[in-house]
Amino acid sequence: MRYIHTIKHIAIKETLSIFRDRLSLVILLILPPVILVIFGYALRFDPEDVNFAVLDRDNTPESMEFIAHLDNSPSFRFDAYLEREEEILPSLTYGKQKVVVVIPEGFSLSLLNRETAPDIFIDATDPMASGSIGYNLQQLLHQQMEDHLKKHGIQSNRPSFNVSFLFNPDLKPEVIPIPGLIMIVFILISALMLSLSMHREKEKGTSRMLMLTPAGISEVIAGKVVPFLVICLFHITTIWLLSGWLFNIHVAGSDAMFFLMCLLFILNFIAYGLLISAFIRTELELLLACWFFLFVPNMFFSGFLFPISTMSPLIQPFAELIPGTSFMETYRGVVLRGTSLTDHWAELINILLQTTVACILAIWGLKRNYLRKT
Amino acid sequence: MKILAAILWKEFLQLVRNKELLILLFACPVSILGIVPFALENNTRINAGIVDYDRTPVSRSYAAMMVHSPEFAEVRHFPTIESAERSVKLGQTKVILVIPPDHERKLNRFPPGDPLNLAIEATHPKKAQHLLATTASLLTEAHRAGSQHEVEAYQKVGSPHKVEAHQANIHNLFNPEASYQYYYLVSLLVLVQTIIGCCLLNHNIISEKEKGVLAQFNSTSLNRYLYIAGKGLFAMFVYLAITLVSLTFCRLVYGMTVQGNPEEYLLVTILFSFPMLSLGYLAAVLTKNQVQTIYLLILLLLTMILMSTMFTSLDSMPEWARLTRFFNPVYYMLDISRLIILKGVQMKHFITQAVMMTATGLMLSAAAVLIMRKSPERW
Repeated sequence: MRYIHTIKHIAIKETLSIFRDRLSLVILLILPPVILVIFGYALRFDPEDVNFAVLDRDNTPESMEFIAHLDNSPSFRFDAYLEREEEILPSLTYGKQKVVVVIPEGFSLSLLNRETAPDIFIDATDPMASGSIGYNLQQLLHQQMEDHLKKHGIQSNRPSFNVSFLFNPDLKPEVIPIPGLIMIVFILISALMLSLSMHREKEKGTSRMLMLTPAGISEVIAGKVVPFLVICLFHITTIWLLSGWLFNIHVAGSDAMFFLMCLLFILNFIAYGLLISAFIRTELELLLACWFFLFVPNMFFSGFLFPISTMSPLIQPFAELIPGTSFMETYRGVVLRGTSLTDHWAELINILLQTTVACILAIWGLKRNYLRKT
Repeated sequence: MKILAAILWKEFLQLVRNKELLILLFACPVSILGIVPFALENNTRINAGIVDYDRTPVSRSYAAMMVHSPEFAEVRHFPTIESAERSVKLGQTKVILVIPPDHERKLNRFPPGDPLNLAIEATHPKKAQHLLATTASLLTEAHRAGSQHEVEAYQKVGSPHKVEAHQANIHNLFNPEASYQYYYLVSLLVLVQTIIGCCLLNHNIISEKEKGVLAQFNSTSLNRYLYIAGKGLFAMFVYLAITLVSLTFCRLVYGMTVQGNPEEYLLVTILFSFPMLSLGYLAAVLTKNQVQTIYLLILLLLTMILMSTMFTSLDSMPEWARLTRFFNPVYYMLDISRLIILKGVQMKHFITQAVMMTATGLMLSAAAVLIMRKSPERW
């Protein structure tokens, strides 16, 4: 009972210090919804309205129809006609165009017999965007050919498919960035903000004063963690409401599972925040450590930007261990595919193990470095 | 000049006395550049599943086509649709092909019989569309082998040629192998420059402000603008040193060279340090302590980084989000870096971006100086 009483008092002290710093409080409260709303809408991975130039050597109604077909699609926007082949490279290097379509002579005939195909030059410096551009172009070409064959009363040779997109039938693009953004929010609030607060006590010397009180080390840590945990719970609710309200992403599985999953990951990031604060000396070190050892690996290795399967076989086992990967997998399972937490036992064991080890190391480091009773 | 040299020397001593920070400053970028590119190999191979209700040579040819395709890591057979769906739900399989009964028998009928069924896991919609295109193209090939229908169809128009899916010859310029490594190495370089450039001067000023060192300097005859300029200059040297170390690392480990003029790249790097240092300076002037400044920097840096086209292309963003690039120096730096490093473009072609970047720096530092003058209590 005394233990809870002490934690309560330290938590009140921590809450007061959070509330007294108005600027920090405002950022702490608005940052997560801002991240989710702005980047939820802004981060898209399918290029639209890509400027293209055309070198039309066919100059037939069919070639013009093809250009109009591209221009009318949401993916492309006609920008210029080129006169000579020499203009292709400068157009892609210095111009606004990302794509140059070269329509060969006899293109109109090739729609039936495919002797000649158009040449498409893509600025491939961004491989992800160029892959999408190439794919979109192929689809539009296929479509035009199908239409053309239909016009001539020919049944297409392509087999027909009944396609069903599972767990996201409308192919909502928001489902790509949202789990990654939630992960970023958790890292910021639970790891970075908490470690900053811990470090502040050390730098100002108030950690020594805390140690002069009857509170034990674990009580001090728990007391400091509680307000951040409450803020995180508030943000889980915000995220849950905003995802449903703005992005129409509702938890396919159980809502309780969603909250439990988020709580587990928040505890994990809290443990990492404590661990970082236990071993750094200045706030710049803390900021760099959080950016480079928490933010960057979780962004790049978690499957948020690149699927794990595309990574080097050397790095895949490491990527699987990263908390962000487990979060992304579990989120996609529980929220989109409607799985239960038991289906993600491997990810959960990984997280629980990491949380325990990080906690033990953090308490040891904090005891050694600044929360000393002696 | 002497005073400036003294300020630089003081900053140098301060940095070398903090060994942990010095190591962290150089180790962070190198470790990130050393590990992250392994995440970018792009050798996607996914697991597929087949529910074959037909069990004929044609249906088996579909399975064989998928097994031999480099796109699929593993092709599993499921007895029922439910078991296949369960596998998709657990994330073990990404695409299921359901071949209806009597598929082979109805194949050569005109019009053709029941279509093939494809169920694709679409939690990543873009990947789902790619997967559909890949699988459909593979199955079209297999279908062609077993179908007589197309021959009949083309006999109708009297064409001697086999009609295939109308494909274009795609030429990927500047990155023919569609390698993610160089592209993201450039992004990582800019990420390192952004974080280091912004945080270094900011932390330096705010920690002195909090400790009262700045107040002590203010009571001396030392010109405070000269003092800040000295700090900024030193931060720029450190930032340049980190950039050079990072570039050398990329050259030695990944063989990435600057396609354009390296001197021009260095000049642009110096130009980019101006808005970043100014942003750090402004954040230090606006806030009272390190916690506030870190909160503010996270808000600003996160926004600038995520909107900079580092992780997504400009064409993918909605129109309103594209407009933010005009105020975002990270966007300009990324754009210029890609032009110089990946395309080998000369300075005259990115002069507008360089001017915009410098103008942003001027605006940020002017704002910081104005705030400093108008409200000395913030100093």
